[in-house]
Amino acid sequence: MKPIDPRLIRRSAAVRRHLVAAIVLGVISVGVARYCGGRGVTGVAVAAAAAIAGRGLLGWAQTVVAAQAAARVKVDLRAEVIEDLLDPRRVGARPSSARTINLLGNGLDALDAYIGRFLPQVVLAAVVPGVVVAVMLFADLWSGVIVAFTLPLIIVFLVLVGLRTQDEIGRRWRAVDRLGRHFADVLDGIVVLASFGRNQAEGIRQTGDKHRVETVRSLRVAFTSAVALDLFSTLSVALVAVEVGLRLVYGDISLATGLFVLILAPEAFLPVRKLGAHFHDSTEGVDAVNAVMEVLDHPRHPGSKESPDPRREAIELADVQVQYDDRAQPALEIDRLVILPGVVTAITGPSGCGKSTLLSLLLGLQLPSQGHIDVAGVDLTEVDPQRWREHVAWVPQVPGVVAGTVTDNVRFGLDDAEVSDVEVAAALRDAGAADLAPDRVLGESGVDVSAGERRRIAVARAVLRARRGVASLVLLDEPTAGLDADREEQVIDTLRSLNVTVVLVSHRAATLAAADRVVTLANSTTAVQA
Amino acid sequence: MSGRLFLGRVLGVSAQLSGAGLLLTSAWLIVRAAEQPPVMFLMVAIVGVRFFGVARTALRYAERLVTHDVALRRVVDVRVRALEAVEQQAGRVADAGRRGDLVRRVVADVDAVQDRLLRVRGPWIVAIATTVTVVIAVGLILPAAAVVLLLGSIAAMAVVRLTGSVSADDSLTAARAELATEVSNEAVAAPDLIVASAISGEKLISKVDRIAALERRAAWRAGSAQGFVLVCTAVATGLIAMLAGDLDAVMVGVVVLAPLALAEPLEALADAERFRPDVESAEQRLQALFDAAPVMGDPAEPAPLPEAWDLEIDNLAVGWTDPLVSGIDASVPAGSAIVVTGRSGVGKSTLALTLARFLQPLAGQVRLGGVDLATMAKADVRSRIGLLSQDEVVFDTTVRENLRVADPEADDAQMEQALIDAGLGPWFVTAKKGLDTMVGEHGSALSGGERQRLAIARLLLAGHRIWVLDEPTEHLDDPTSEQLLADLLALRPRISLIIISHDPRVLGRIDHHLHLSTEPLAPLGGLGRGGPRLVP
Repeated sequence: MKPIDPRLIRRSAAVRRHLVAAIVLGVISVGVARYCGGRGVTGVAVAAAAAIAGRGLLGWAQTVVAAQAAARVKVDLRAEVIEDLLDPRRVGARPSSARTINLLGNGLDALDAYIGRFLPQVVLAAVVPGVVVAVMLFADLWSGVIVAFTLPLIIVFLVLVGLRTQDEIGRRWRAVDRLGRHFADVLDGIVVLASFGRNQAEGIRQTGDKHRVETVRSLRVAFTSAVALDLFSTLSVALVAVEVGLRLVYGDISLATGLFVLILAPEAFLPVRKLGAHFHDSTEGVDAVNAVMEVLDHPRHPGSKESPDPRREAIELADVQVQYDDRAQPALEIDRLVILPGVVTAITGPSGCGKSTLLSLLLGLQLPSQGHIDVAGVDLTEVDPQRWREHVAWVPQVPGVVAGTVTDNVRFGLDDAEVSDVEVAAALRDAGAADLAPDRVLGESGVDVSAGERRRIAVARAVLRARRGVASLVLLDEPTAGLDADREEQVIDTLRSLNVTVVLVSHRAATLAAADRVVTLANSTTAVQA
Repeated sequence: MSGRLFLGRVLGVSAQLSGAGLLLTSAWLIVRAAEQPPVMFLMVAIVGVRFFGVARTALRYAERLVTHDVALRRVVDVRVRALEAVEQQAGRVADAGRRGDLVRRVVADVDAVQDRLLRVRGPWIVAIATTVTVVIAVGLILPAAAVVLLLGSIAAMAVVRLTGSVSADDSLTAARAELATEVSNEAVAAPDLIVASAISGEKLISKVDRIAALERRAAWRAGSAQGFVLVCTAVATGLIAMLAGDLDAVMVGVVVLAPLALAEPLEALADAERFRPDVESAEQRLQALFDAAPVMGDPAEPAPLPEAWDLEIDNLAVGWTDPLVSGIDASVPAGSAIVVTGRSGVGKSTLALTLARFLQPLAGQVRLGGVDLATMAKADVRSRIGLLSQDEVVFDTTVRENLRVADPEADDAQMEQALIDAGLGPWFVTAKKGLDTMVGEHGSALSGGERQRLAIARLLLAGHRIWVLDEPTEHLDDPTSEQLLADLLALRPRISLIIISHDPRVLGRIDHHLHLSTEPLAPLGGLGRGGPRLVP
């Protein structure tokens, strides 16, 4: 493991600025302590008080600077995650909402200690001991030599500590993660668990105890190693003290020099010891950075070409395959499929045969693992996905809603002024959503909208986009699910009347019967065209 | 205070006192050494410095071990309490979106409980105990200095405490909860809204900026509080230096440095106060959750569960606060099947929740084997009546663990049989890891149909006599749903089925229909009642 992630430092100007400020403050504070501590004569107590107070003041400045820097770095990283999540060129699986919430919330708090304490300490540990040893060598050769020899030993010890705790901390991090999700999962599934009569109190206790044991165990490792580190550096300082004491007895050095060296010696070890104490900050900090990088690390849609218009062009899929890493069989396999313009094509097939994956491919939300999709001789992978999607309306199984009225949601993405309320009402009615009041306000989080209502709103949105001539390809995933027979018929009639290319996924007999063409995807290989 | 917690506090105070001891013995040592006495006179102090130095480290880490242990134990207790409270309210959070918000909030609030113990209360106890001890020690040397020290410490504590009282606007927890809501909304909504090219991250970014601003502000507040502690320290040091003029030179160092020895624990208070607003608001929310009246409590003396499992619905009204639909009459004799139909939103799912005792009937009653459900324990009722809700939760773990929810004792063979019976056989064959396959968050690694069938497999493993199924065939393709329906109906007469559906395939296979409607119907035949009825 690398205690300092170069990606983080490269990425963030805030980190760089903060490091410089921390070094300056740290070096000044050591200097202040040394300058005042060095003149140990009459007003020693007051001088020492002033030195320590001055150091405290600088320490305070350091804390404030560090907190500001950490806050800034976190903003940068969070903004990057948000931009990535909303990036239309993002391809493939999306991180779970729990993970995203963690990354944008408490998950990055480990960076406070990492950036605020650990990073500056790394630099201080690299700079201060050398300076102190040099000063000591100059003031008293023997003491300087002793410190110069014992210091590397401490550093070796520090590395050993790091290697030892790495596994422990990793295990704890995973345990925390598991535990956090376990409790949330149990709460989320409370209705299911209650209806099966499962009392989860025992499970919560067991998982919580496991987590407690893990945490305390890794703390114990940190505890033993830190105490050992402290003892070791205390011994080194004692070695200097004995040597200075003996030479004082023989009058080899002056008392002033002896005191100066004695006070200075622990300063050489202090930054290294502190580094050891903050080591777990680094593991957690690096893990947090890694978690962010993992989310940011994914393929992007490479297309840049001008988009063909699907209104007049057929979409041809040849030898297309989508393969997920964790499944033995491809999620979708199509030898050849031509989607003709202006035709209502229904996709059906057993669950898990890749119906929704096919829609993702057509949207550019997923790239084929092999094969290609051509529109008017252009490979869809090379087309700018945003340009292409301007021609597409999509109704997923669980569509999103934005805060606002039902009307706002239906004419979403269109110019408000141009779309009349009458058109919106007509779209709603034709989407089987006549019972949804256009002026009904949908909550910020969409809590009060059922999946069925979301779907009908999204169908109305797609209908409106097609009628306004914006969308010429309409993709729908189970648009008639949950509708009674009358409304199902109404939706199908509406889709047929749009005169655009419609690709809909369904398994409902009435919906399939109304399509111009039914394509049955099989779990095994070829698409059968009926 | 438990023994363990008390031990933790003693360790914390001892660690801090060792720190003070380290500083004050060092002061004595340096001043005494400057007088150049024989080395043996310094030995005790030298040992003392080493002792305090090592003890401080050792005690601090021991304290961390003990208090973390206590805090984590306490969190487990709060989790269990929160779980029980949420369970009481389960009917209110049957909707997935509503539940998501609650879950996020409760998880965060419970975690905040350990902060109170570790990060708020701990530093205060340590600071007060250390101050008292050091003030007494200094009082033995120079009483006037002790008074200055005491007043200075009280002033510092008062000011630090005031910085902890922050208006609700400034609550970081609230800002984070808002962000979480926004994110979960975006995470669900994003794909299709991104395709509509009309989504921007502005709202999210502004929320993130706000959190950063609050964090910076909190850092500044803690910083200024720390600064004030330093000012108090400096003033006290100056005053004591003036007062200590007549004292023996060796003791001057000790007395003058005493304020510095207290600076560290007092500064730690500034950090502690940063956590106070969030901890307190979290505790208030949890308390409100614990205090909320249960949506569904158990009767004081529950009636025993009858052997018979004929179900009678008698003039039932269901709804949350106002009846959605009332006057429901139906009879489901043991081993029979009935289909419940009605327009979307008429209250079909609410009826299902009422039957499974997640909601109290608003009028009328439901009788199981002739006994009113309301007089029985919820757990008893639910051991007879199983529910498959519309957005059935599958847990983000393995298939095996998902099935174990229904029957912890089931072996692999039983689980595999249940998967096959639920129509998941073909899927199971291709799953590389078999029962250990992860299903993903909200079952995202499964298709909609597979998710539904996993839930049905779960139901197959549990020992219910009456199944209430809310749209069981909704996401299934034709052959599978035909097959599933046939399999379900073949469960009779071992099991009664109450199927909510408007799928014609279901309607055609089951003779008994219960049509829910809010529109009054003309009286029909001998039944003579308006409203929903059992149509033979």
